[in-house]
This record gives sequence, structure tokens and C-alpha cells, in this order.
Amino acid sequence: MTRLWAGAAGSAIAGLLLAGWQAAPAPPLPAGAAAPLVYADCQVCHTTEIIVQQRLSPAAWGKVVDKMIRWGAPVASGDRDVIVRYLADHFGSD
Amino acid sequence: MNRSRRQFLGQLLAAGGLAGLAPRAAFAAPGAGMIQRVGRPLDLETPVSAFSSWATPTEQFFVRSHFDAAVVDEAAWTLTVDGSVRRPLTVGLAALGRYSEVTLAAVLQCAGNGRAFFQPKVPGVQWEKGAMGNAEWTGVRLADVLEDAGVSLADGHVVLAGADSPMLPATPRFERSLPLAKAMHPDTLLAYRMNGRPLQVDHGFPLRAVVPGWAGDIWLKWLVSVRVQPDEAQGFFMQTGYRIPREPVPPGTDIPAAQKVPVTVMPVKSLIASPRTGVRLENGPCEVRGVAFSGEAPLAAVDVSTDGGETWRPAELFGRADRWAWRQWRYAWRPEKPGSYVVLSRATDAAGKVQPPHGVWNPSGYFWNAVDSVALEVIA
Repeated sequence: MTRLWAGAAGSAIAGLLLAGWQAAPAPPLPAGAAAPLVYADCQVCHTTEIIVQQRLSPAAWGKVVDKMIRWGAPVASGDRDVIVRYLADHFGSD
Repeated sequence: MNRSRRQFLGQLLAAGGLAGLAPRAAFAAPGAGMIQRVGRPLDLETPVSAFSSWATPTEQFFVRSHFDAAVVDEAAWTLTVDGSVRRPLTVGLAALGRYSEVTLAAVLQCAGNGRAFFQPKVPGVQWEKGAMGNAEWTGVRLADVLEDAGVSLADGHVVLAGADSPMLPATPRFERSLPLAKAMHPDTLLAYRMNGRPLQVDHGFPLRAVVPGWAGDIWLKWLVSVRVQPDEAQGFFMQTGYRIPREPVPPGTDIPAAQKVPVTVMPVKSLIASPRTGVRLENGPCEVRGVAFSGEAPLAAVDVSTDGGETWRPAELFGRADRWAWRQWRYAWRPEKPGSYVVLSRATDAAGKVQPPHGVWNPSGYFWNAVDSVALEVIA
């Protein structure tokens, strides 16, 4: 009986899950030496959508990354320039 | 609690389980069709099709989060009112019942709505058209709460802070302030219901600020603190973020934050809800319809062009005409012949402000309000 109830509740929940908004998986980052750094350092606070939707100059990316470092992003001291270059290469202004 | 667990609980609650843990409405999840701009923290955009109706359903209302949503225990939640007041207060939800209840409809719009359209591009969530909505908000007047606490300043600012926390200790908390004069406006509310139901978690359960006419950054969610002080809030989100040059700057350039002003009153804006861009219409009568609003001046008119802006004709405003809500408008169009058309809408407010042909570029991409346009085909 318990199992029946659990099954019914599970089906009801599955139905409801299908009815509403479903979180889409965050998009993967383009391959590159800095990609693992970006995953590790940026996803502490946010998923990758906010990265891949930007189209910024190297200078603008530098400002963004410096702000995030001030806000506690765990970017190792030698990684900042590598990350900025990677972001500007893949998500640069036209 | 992470999002998937919270959503799971929400579904359980919606299904009637775990009654009493929290109001069912508080955990209800956003509806299908929302455009996910960022998964964490959650930023969801409303599809333009939702703007065919006056009220934006809560399930389709955009969500903007700086950090993960605060999940508040209603029984333990309190609001503190302190600073330059004679009688500091700490009140729970039930105690708000001592103040008169007010319901009003108002447009809530993210300051960054339309950021994606600015050229050159600016950093931030790339919202297109749907970081806005129109809802009915129920709560108490912030002025009544402040009067109860006995504000001891003639002039000053009210700092609002929520229960949400940054993920890292070095990240600034989200706090904003509004001038005392706006805080004391009888339509500035502390709201606990949205569209007649308790606030959903993503919309600030159990209490949020409602600041009609002003951009969403001051409509603080998960509110726990109201502090009266002589000066503006001093944190990043007041002194650096959510600021805009007083006068336009050349596109692509910036000026120091100290030379900018906080974003406050929304500029006049209209949006075409239907027809949608890219559609192919059979040649025949076509109703163009949408919504329009302004910040503090009432909306005066909406004009429509069906020839890319060469000529304009007045649209009809219809439906409810609440002070802070948007107006719906419609225009009966009969295309002269098959072909490609660009249909535009342009709102004017009672202060004489008109939607500009292009958005006014600014370094953080706030207040995009260019005339709206849809490109479509009329076929024989």
C-alpha cells in the first residue's frame, strides 16, 4: 500500500514537473586552455549563460574579471590575463 | 536549499503535500515558456506573447535575482525598521495587519530591460523585451510603517535590504535606498501578495517593496530591513551599480560613477504584443495591439506606423486605466497590399516625453525605450 501511494505521488510530481518551467542546462564553454579555469572560478556564483551572452572588448572583459576578483572569485594570480584573453577571444565585440 | 530541491518541494507543496511548511503559493514554480537568461542566480524573461493581456500572470512574470533566492521561514521572519526613527520597530507578518491594507496595480520593469539592443554592447544580463510585467500588489503603505516608527528626519533616505546573501563574503550585499519623499508616497508599498496570492519565493516571499513608476532595482525582495538615514545607501549597488549618466554620453564611453545618478523613474515606453515579428499574415484586417506606460507621468497616447515610421496614426487606448499600471492599446490595420512591412509603436506621456527612435546608450544599458518595431510579411 505504501509503495502504491509512493508510486502515485511520484507520478503526480512527475506530471507537475512537466507542466511548469524547467531549468535548461547551462551551455558548455568553447574548448580552450582557460575553459577549466572559467568553469572553476566563475561557477562558484553563477552559471555560464551570463558569460556566453556577453560581447565585450578585451578592455571591458578586463573590467568585468577585475570586479569579480574584487568580489571574491577564486582566480589564481597568474590566471587573470589568460581568462580575460579567452573571454575576449570567444565572446568579443564584433 | 538549492534550486532543484526547492523546486521539488514546490511541486510537492503545489500537489498538496507538506501543508503548513509554507504557503503553497510561495513555492509555486514559474510557468512554461519563460526564457531562461541565467539559470543561477535565476533570471527569467517573459515571452512577448504574455503582453497581450493587461495582467501578467505570476507564473509568466519575469524573475531577476542578484543572488540565490532567500528561502524564508515565515514564522521566524521579521522586518526591522530603524535608523533615524524615534521608535525602532521589529514586526512579523501578522503584525503588519495593524496597518491599512492597500491593493494597486503597477508595472514592474527591470532597469536593464532591452539591454541586448544597445550598440555597442554593454555587460549585464542580455534582456530583450520581457523583463517587465503588470501585476496587482497588495500590502501596507511604507509611509504608515515609517510614521509608526516616528521618522526623525525632515529629509533623508530609506535603505532597503533583503534576506538574500551573496555566495562569497567579499561580494557586496544587495541594498538600495530611495529618498524619503518617495518612500512616504502613499502608493509606495510593502507588499505580501502579488495578483491576489502570497508572493512566490522568486518574487520576494514574504515581503517586497513596491515602488510604482520606478525601475525594479528598488522593489527589493525578501525584505528584512528598512533603515532611515541622512544619506543614500553606501554600497556597490547604490554608488556604482544602477547608475546612469545625467546627460547622454557618446556610445562606448564611460564616466565615473560619482558623476552618474541612480536609476529611478522609468521613461515612457510601448511594446507591440501582436502581431509578432517574422510572421506571415494573410492580407486582410489585422489588429496591432500592445501595452504602454510611463514612470511618473501618466501615459497620454500611443501612435502606430505601418510604413517604417514615415507616417503615424493614433492607436486606441482601452481597458483599465489605473494610475501605475500599463494601458493596453490597439490599432485596426488594413494593409494596402501584400509585401514586407515594419510596424512601429510610439508612446507619449502627459509630460510630453515621446519614445525616441533609438535607445539612449549608457554604459550599463539601462532604460532602453526606443520605439518598438516588428517586421512582417503580408501575403496575397
